[in-house]
Amino acid sequence: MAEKKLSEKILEVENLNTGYRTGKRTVSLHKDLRFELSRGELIAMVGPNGIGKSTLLRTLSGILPPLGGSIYLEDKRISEYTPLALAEKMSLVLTEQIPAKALKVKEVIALGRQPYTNWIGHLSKTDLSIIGRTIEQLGLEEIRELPCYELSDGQFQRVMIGRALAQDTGLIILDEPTTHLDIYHKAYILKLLKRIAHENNKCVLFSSHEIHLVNQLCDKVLVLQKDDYDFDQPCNLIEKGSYQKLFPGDLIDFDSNTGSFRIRN
Amino acid sequence: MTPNSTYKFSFLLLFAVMIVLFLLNISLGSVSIPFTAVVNILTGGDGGNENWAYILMHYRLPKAFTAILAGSSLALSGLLMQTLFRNPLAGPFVLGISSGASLGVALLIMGTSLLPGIGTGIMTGSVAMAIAASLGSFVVLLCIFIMASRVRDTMALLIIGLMFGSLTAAIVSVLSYFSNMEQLQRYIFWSFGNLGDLSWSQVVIFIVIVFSGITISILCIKPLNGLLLGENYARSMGMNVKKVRYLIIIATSLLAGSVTAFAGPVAFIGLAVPHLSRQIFRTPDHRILMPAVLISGAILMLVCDTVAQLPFSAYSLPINAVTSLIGAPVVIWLLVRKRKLLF
Repeated sequence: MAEKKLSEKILEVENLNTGYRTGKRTVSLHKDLRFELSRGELIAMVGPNGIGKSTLLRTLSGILPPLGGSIYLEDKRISEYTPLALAEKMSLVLTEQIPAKALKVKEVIALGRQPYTNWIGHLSKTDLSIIGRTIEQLGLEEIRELPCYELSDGQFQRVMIGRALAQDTGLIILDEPTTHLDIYHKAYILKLLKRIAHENNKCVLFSSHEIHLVNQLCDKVLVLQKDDYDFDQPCNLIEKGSYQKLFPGDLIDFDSNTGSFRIRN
Repeated sequence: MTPNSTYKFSFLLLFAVMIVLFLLNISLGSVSIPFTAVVNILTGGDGGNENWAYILMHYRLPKAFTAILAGSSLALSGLLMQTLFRNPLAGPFVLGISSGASLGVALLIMGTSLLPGIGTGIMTGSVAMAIAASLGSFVVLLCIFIMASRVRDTMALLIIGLMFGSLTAAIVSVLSYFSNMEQLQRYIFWSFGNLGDLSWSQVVIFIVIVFSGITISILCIKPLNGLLLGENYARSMGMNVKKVRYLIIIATSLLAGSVTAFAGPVAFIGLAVPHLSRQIFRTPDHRILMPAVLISGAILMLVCDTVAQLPFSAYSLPINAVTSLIGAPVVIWLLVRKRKLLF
């Protein structure tokens, strides 16, 4: 039973070409991407600045149209979903700040229930119990009544993850959830994401620059290189030398024993 | 986000304050009418003086209703704009509604000197001015609406609205430069705002427009709450951002546009009341804020109008000046005291 759950496919990408159009110019970033993401997996996406991580995330979340190929979410093309149906399958955690920082923690998490609430946003008993459970699981009980402007970066990130969790979707996509955090809180957030993926049987996909942490924690890693990519378990990627190709070799070297980069002397 | 008993108490209190102010507003004025006579007239008697009854029924009552309607709709449209543009400085007129109306009225009053073919005295009554103001607002809003379908970023829309404001202000300046003193004076008097010019039939039209604006706003409560997290999050929670943007613009046009047409460009209420309400209710939830700004807007407008009519004297002040004179210090005081601009 557990094994069946692990292989439950949720997102399938076929011959995907990513990029974007600005005016009449088309910028093509990656060609022929193919991979499958399943429930119960924590998946990181790494790659240098400007390689197209955000573009790929935006394409996968249906904000940008793909330049070619297809994306299937639970066996249905992502473009065929209505916004509301998509909101029940996929939730996002973005890098942007929220405009209304006076919202209390519990209110932000309650907003995650929007796809399920009625026309005026009334919270049913089910909604309230899911919100309560989310607050408990993320350890937000003590700050639940605080407005967001009083939170630290790490707390705020946890709240936004809680909001996505309350949206109760099989797939959660996060854009660089650990930037601006200290090393302890980076590890804290990634451990939390791992727990969410495994315990709640969700597929959690996030972009990151913390290659050393990602290699220790993630089930699979998508390495985006210039015009190429690798998608595998971290140990296989290290063995294959996928990370060596990520950056120019003049300043840093990848140390395959520690799974991290070192400054070149 | 459930409304609890403290909110209910605050609402009851606010509502009571509004009723008291309403009675105070119609009891005071340049002609002194005893309060007992006011009550007698309101309950169907004649208060012992036919003139009093006439003043009350045909001047003070419609004016008080106009004040309530204008205050409520300006406050609500201010709230809508602040949430849509994620900007605490946005007010009901950021989309250029008042500048469009000013242009319409300016063209009506002062344009005649540029187009000598049209006779002057024909169309300068208050009804003509209301029509000119509506047409002006409508044309500017139509431009904004067309822009809204072209630009993807709501912030760009905010700047486009401001640019339209500058454009129309410039045209009005040019018109003023070439117009005579009498025309200029009439235009300036319109821009002072006036709540007391409406007949009962106009008040009824006003009520209908304002209530349709309020209805659309109520239907937008859930998406407005979603927008508190920003457009991208709102979209990811299943909201049709473009549709909601249109609905909010339509509601604002009905609310702020009708006030401008019937009472002139009344400043400040729309910007200030949402902030005052956020300070009182301490929540950004639109299910609470929306009724809160409706009542608070009416209260503030009644206060301003009561002050503007300078009780016990034969003079009255321009309402537009009073709203700022009373409103600005209140907001400054609240912000300094609470030290935090809630949004």
